[in-house]
Amino acid sequence: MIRRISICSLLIVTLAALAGAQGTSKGQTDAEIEKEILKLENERDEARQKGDMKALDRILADDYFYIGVRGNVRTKANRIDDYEAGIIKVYSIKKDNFIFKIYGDTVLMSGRETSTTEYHGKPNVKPRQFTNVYIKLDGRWRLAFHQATPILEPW
Amino acid sequence: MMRRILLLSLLTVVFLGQARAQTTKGQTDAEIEEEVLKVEHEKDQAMQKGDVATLDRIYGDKLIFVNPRGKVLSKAQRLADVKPGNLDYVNFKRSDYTMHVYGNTVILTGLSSSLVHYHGELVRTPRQFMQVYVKENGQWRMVSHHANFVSEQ
Repeated sequence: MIRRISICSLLIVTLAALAGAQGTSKGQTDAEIEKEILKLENERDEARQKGDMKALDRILADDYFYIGVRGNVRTKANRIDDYEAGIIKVYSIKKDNFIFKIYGDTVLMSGRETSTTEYHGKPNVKPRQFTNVYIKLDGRWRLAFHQATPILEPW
Repeated sequence: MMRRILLLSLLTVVFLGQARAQTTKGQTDAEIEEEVLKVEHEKDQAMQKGDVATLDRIYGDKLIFVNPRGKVLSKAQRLADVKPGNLDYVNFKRSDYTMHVYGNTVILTGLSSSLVHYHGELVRTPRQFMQVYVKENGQWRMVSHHANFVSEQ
């Protein structure tokens, strides 16, 4: 009887340990994770167009930061201030050529953006290559980093 | 006898599971940053020497490399790019490092103002770059690089 209890206890400990060892995204296929990220990315794009700061606040990680097309480093607060002040405007969004690389609770998303935007009154219609880093924080995917580079002639 | 084997097997599974879960657990962010910066400096040395073997060890197999012209390179394409004649540093200067630590993932940014001959062109414009390091099998590997030319605001 005592041996049976010991074995049951060990089984419980084993399962608990394995559950702990699994990351929050474990048990999902890469395709399922990509689908989740793409859904969130679409929500972010909608929020950018509508100026929905509440949605952006939810999607961007608290320590989110980005490197803009001019090589400028900006924070989440800077970004939200820009939208609220009307410094940045997003007229249309078009993205394609997505590449996803998944590392547990970190997803690298790369792609090409040809959206029409305006920043400090200057229109931006040039194609740019972007990298997004999504991290699962407290069970929720959030955008931790974004960088976009104008696509020039090839090297 | 069978029960002992069963118990030992279960214990082994528990310990392996825990070991896999640990990796960077128990380290402070400062310790992780120090480790990543050490690998970053090894990579910088390798880039200056054209040391492809070291870069092959540091670059993740699924590397996404975006150069300042917005061109996307795979690991194989980047390693082919680093060879002398394609990439030759006149001087090497990097500064303004920042790091954001998320467990086994580190986002590192910095400013490169190195003078470099790249594909026959002397590149002088400073570049703001980002790199993602991920710990795989106990080793920090660079899985993403993205750089922008810094221009006037």
